[in-house]
Amino acid sequence: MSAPETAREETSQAGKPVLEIRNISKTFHLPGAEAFKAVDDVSLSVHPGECVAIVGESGSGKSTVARMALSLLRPDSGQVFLEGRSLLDMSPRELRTRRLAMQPVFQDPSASFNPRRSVWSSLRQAIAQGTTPEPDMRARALELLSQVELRPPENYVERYPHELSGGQRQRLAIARALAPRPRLIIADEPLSGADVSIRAQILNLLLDLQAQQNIAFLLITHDMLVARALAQRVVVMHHGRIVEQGETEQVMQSPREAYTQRLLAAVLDVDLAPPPTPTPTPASPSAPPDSLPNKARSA
Amino acid sequence: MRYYIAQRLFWSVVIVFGIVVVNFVLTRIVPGDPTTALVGEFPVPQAYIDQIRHDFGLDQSIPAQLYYYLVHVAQGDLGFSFVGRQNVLPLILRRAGVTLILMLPSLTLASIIGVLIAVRAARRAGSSLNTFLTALSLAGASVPVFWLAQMLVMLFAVRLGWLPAQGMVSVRANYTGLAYFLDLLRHLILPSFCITIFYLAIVVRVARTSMLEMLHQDFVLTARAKGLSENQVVVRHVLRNALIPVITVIGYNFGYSLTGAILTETVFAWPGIGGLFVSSIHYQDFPVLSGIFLLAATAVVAANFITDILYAVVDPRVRVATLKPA
Amino acid sequence: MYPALRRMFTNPVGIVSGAVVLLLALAAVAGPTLYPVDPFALSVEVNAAPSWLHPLGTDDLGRDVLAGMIEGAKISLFVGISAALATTVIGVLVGAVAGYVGGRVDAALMRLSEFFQVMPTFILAVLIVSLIGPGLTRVIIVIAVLSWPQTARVARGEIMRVSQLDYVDAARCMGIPGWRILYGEVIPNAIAPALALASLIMAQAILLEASLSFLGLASPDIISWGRILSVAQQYLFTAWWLSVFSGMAIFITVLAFNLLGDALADALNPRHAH
Ligand SMILES: Nc1ncnc2c1ncn2[C@@H]1O[C@H](COP(=O)(O)OP(=O)(O)OP(=O)(O)O)[C@@H](O)[C@H]1O
Ligand SMILES: [Mg+2]
Repeated sequence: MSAPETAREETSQAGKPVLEIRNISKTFHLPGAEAFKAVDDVSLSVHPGECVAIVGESGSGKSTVARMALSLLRPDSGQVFLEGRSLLDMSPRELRTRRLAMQPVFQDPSASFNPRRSVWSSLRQAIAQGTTPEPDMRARALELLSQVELRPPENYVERYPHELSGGQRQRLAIARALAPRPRLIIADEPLSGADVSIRAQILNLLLDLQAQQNIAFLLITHDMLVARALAQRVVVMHHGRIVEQGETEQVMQSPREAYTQRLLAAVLDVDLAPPPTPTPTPASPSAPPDSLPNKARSA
Repeated sequence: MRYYIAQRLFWSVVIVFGIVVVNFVLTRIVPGDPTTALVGEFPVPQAYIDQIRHDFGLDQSIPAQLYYYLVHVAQGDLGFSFVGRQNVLPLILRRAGVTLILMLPSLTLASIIGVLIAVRAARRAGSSLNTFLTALSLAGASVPVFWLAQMLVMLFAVRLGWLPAQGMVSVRANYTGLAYFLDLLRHLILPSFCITIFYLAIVVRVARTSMLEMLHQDFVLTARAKGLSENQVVVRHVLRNALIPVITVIGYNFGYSLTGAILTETVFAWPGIGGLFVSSIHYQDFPVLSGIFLLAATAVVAANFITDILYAVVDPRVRVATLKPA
Repeated sequence: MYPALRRMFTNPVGIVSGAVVLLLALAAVAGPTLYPVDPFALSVEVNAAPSWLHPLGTDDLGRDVLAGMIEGAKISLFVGISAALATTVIGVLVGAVAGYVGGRVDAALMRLSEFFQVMPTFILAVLIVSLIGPGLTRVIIVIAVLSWPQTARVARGEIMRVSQLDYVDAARCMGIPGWRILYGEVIPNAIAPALALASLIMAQAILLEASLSFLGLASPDIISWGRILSVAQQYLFTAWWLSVFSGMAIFITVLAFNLLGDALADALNPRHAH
């Protein structure tokens, strides 16, 4: 256990983070209600090829952090750095090109696609924005569909979102996120919209992507088991604040905070069996392929 | 609450100010000389035109002109009607009283009947009665009220000869006391019947919607669960709560009600605002037309303001949530 | 959209009102060919009752009322369609900007629309038309200027709903400029209620034009239903046909557009789909 752990430790200190969030806060003012501090002084970073999970109960501010990271919501204070550059200080034009390095996958696959665009039209839109212009966008679209195992891709490319199942749509959402060749994917509960059988498949897919393409993930989930399957590090949020963060296994095995213990107990009560490991070797979810940290370091 | 009233009051004042400015702008979009808009197309003495030019600073800059205009309006001076040979404000106010004689009974009647109908309809959601009522209220909203008025005249006055077709009192008879009152009543029947139908359409529509919403609310479900009969539920809980939106409808639709009254008056030669309105159109008596607009708009703002406040008193949620139902 | 249309045409109200509107359009387009009588031609037979020669009678100048009604159908449809189009364009633009940009722009635009909504439309329209003079184009402009707030409010709400959907966020993350997201992703998915409202606005516009003409605010070189009613007002005691037919035409047309708008709104509202 200790060997990969130290390796990862090195990664997080040596490599430059893809995403760094520094002391961001957000307060919502609803008319007639008291001001509500949804995110309070949150800092975290994600390194190349790494998967960091944010866990916490509903309403703890996870999605708000994700939206601020994605520059979909402006923090009241604090900074967000994407590959070392502050998103908040960029010109709109610069932001438009730079943000392609970071793509979202949302929770609800039914709201993730414009119902008036075919799969091809949606993918084309995403590909066309890529930094490397594609001479043959159609070929790229088919390749993306294959990558997320929508095969044969020709069967899917002309369909409309409502002609896809929830699981297929979520795969398509991942394909779209991959289209601009991002370095980071921010996935907000990508599994909770899908039912159990599909969850394992999508989990598998995410693991493969992480291993093969060296894409970093910021994974938002309230499910400790999912975090355990995918993430090297976890950040635990409660009432808008980070209450605990560290190596996944460490946090899982010896949580320091009572809140984290409760979160763990909640899942473990329901399901004491090991997480639904998608890969045949049970060790791999918590210990991703050894090549990963090395790759990250060399990048 | 006090803050809410102050806020609404402030907004109302802003709107009234805006309306005066709109009025000012309108007098300047007239092709040609702005004095035309201030005087009307009626032949008037040149001395009066010169005086108007001076009073309203028409040879000065636009902001200065606006200032003069505002000062005049603020002093209650809405101009002089050469057609009516008197000042616009008292002329309109006198006519407004006559219009109210027509409007108030009709509004009252329409509210009572409308709510009763809506209650019946809401209790049988989805029934054919309900569909029929919806269609009826839609028909009421689609009928040109002046045409309805013409039909009533042709049927009850011309064909059947039951009721007078025109005016507020019989001109040749010099009734006094009770006889005068009865004569007025006879003249009132047709026009007020006409606009009652006009008002009924909108009252039914809105009351029905709010009633349906009400019937699905928790307190009604609780009352039902407690074993109150359907009638008791409707009377005790729904009706009382649904009256609020009905009042709101009337308050927020004052302008619409006024329009109905004006158009009805023109057919029945009722000597209220409507009659004045039509003759002013005919004689191009712009001071009167813009005076009517100014007063009507102000009355609408006032009605909205009062309704806002009533609403907030009855339902405190309003203050924090939306300010006004769209 | 398609299921909505199917729903719409399984609704009897939708079918009937749609048919009436079609019929009206037919009357306006093919009427002059099917009934080739000049609506402006004067004759000595003034205020003649309906007969074989003049199926709906003649007016005070001896003009054929049926021909005038066909002419009026043209005018009403023209005013209704143009005014609804102009209103919808203005309303959707304002609503889109308000709902999409939000913040102070939204507050300012909504205040402005509230201001316009408070003003008594009809009286203001009369005042404006009296001042600038009659004319169809002017009437259409006045209607559009006074009716856009309704559309703006509806469009704004829908734009706000759609623009917080995930696919809009996804588009933003692709670096697509805001205005392209607005017209490519948001407006196409938010426009349906505004279109249903357009039918109601058409009804209002036709009614308003008829009211203005009735009060004598139509230019003298056109014949419209409201104008015929205005003539009828002087002959209520003698020429019933002047009032009955043209009033009926306004009523049925306005009712049809109102019903059509309701049916459309119903069909587009997924909650009402049973
Ligand atoms: N646009 C907004 N306006 C007002 N309040 C908001 C807004 N967005 C989020 N909130 C509030 O902020 C808090 C945090 O919301 P957030 O969506 O970040 O939680 P979450 O951790 O993602 O929860 P979940 O697991 O349910 O998705 C919640 O209480 C929510 O009501
Ligand atoms: Mg969330």
